[in-house]
Amino acid sequence: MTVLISLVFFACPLLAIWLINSIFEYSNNNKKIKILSLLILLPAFFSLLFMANITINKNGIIHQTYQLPAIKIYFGILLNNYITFYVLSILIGIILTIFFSNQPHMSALCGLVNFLMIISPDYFLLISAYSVGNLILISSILSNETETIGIWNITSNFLWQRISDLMSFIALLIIYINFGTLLETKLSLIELNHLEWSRTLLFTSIILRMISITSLHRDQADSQLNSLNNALANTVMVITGCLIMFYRLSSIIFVDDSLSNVFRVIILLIVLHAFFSLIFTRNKETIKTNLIYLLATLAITAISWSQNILSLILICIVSAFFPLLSPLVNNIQNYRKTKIAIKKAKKWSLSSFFFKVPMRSSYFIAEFFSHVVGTFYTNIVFYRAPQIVFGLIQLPLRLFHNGNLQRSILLSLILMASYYSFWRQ
Amino acid sequence: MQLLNTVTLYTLIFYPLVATIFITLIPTFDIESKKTLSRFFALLGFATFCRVFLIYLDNKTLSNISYLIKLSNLNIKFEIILNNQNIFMYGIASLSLMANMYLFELNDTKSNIHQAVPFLITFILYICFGQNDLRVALPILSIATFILYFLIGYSDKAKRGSTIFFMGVFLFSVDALALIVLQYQIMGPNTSSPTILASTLAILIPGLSRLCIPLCAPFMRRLFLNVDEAEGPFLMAFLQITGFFILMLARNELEIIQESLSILVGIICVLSSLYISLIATSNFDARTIPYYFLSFYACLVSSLLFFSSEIYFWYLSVSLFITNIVIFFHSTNTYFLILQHRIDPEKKSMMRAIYFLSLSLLVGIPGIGIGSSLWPIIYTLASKSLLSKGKELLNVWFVMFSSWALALILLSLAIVLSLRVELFKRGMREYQNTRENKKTIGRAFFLAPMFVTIICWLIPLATFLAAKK
Repeated sequence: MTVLISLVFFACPLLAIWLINSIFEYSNNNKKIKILSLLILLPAFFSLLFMANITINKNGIIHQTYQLPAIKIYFGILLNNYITFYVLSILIGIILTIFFSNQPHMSALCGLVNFLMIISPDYFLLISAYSVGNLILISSILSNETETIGIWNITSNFLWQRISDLMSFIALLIIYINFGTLLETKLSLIELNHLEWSRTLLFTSIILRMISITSLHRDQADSQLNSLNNALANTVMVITGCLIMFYRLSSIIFVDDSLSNVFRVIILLIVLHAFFSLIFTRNKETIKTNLIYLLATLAITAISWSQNILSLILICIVSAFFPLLSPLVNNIQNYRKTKIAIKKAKKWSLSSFFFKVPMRSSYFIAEFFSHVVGTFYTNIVFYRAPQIVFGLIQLPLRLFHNGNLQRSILLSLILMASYYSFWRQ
Repeated sequence: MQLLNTVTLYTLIFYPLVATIFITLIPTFDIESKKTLSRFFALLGFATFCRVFLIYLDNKTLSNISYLIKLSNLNIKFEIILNNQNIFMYGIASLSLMANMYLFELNDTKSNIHQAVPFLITFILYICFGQNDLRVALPILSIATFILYFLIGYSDKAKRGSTIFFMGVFLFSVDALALIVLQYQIMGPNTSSPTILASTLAILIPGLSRLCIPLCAPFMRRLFLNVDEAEGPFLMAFLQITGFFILMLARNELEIIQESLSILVGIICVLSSLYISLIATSNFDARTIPYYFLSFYACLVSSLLFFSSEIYFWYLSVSLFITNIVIFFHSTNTYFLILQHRIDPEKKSMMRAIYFLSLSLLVGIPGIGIGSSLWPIIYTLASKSLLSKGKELLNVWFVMFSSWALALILLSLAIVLSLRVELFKRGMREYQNTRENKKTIGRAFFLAPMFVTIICWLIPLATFLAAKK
């Protein structure tokens, strides 16, 4: 029975989001589809209620896993009393987005990815789901986006997400090689004190993802409406995803040692950064991004000090209600005025500068390399140098050759004979 | 049943020759007939390969093809033997032929040979794959490269002449050098001696230069920029397959792979991958990004092939190699789609998204695209060399591992930069005129990447089954 209900629970959101994504683009703001997708989501709610009965009332854990053939990766569902609330908030977020947003398919997709992340029992699948969701989100934003600045920011973010991906997967790989499993239920029983490298990599990757999205989207305010919408969808996805990742991985990252305290100090600095960037924000649009950022940093602070209830409340606020911000942007009447005000208020930002410097510098290194080293290697070492060497060997022939074929052949024969005798010596 | 199996093997080997004859017999202007016939033969070839692979997995014996021609004192023995290594080569050759026929439609009447060349090349490859000796296979492959020069020469690119010159001179000299070294039998198990190491490397260089490892192939960038959009992918696939095959034969000749050789090949490959990523970052051309990714993963494949003498590494490398070529075909086809729709401003952003999604299959996320083959490799390398007990973490392999990661990140940056430049490009009128049958873009967005992802899951599974056998 539990297996059947968990399958329903797993399949319904997938089906609803697929419906929204496949049909919505072709029928503008169709109410029938919205109601249909709500009907599809209803069984997921009922199965969640059934599961909540087990997890909350009986204080149990639902743990259904299906191993892939030949690989030790597990699909399935992991639910305890906290995760049940997270799932509930994500489902509420999906429904609110479907009903109130003008472009629901992207935000709903973000919700789905977050849903898959929170219930996945395997850490490898958790981060893979996040990365794949991020890619699909970027591509669907690119398919709607016409503004240069929007594409600029989303592609910059893509690069930072890939760097973070590499970090987190390598960290997970180290853990897997050491313990042979990435299941949360098994890893929670193991001492992870000596894995400083992987813990640091995991922590850095999550923080990098979170800061990069907010910093790179902060100067997006002077773009068009479309970009703002997309930016918010992207920010909500990335930040909620990061929070879920942080919550799920916190049992690995925070152990009783000095490294965990270092992490906590870094988190406090990030909270300060978020707080000041909210205070010094001058325009209405970037306030939303900064507010999400501040809430997210507060949530990770709560997670790092194991304040489960507080972190639950903060993550639920971000995941359930912030997708609603994208329709609010659409309702701005005096958009032109706002845009002018934003342009005036645009300032140089240290954090976005920090994220742009490595990109610029690696581009300049690449330019230098291709123009100097590449040219030297292909054109001089492999083309001009052999040409000069062979030219030098031909030099006597060139000197005596004046257009007479017979004389040239005679000279070449003499040269060949002399080269041969020289070689024999 | 045995007779049926033999007929299947004969069909697999000789269908490209039959297809070449039939396609050449059709008049040049009858494009549609040529297209239909070539698709039929390509599909037949792949289906035959699938049948052969299943027979092979069922442990049923496949009779070998063997002919002996006697001309006075000259005995020419023509023999084709299927083993657990070359069966994958047959697979990737038939797969790339089918992909070329279905994805890149030939709508222009350049010459009669253009339609028949892929089949002819495939036939030459099939004959070579049956050989176990590099001394027999290398001259044939070297001569077959001349067909490629013909194809490049027929294109309308500005620097095709110098490309042919660069490539021809380099490949011909390294092939000749390798054959001379092979004649003297300098190669041996004791690769610690510098002379033997150098001569072994001389034998590997024809393979490495065909896999477009830039340190061994200085013509690489010029080649990428000067191949035709429709013919380039098959041409590159041919080079890759021949390169991998040469390396495979060279690896089989070595009884034990010494650590010095594996480190040397590893260093060449790492430097090449950094070279590729830096060039790709400064290139800004969306068209060539799949080519750079192709050679990047080819570097990894070659490094892995000589990592250890264990047969397990061969299976890992062949899985990555095949996945790489499959995704390469997909992404180049997507760029072809962009060219067709670029003039249409309404579809521009959609096309950009499709191209991004096809390239993102190459960034190495586990389970998606190349990640399905890449992460088992990373896991094996990390567990065998980096984190195994008794070894320090900071060794030469750790540096190489970090360089690979750096190169991959730089290639992601190259994707970002090329996508941004693609924003400002205008439509190309010549493509609008010549390619009348526009492909539909609806299925290209999610269905095509999903299809490619499923193929990418099947490839490691197939290699795993073969390795288990």
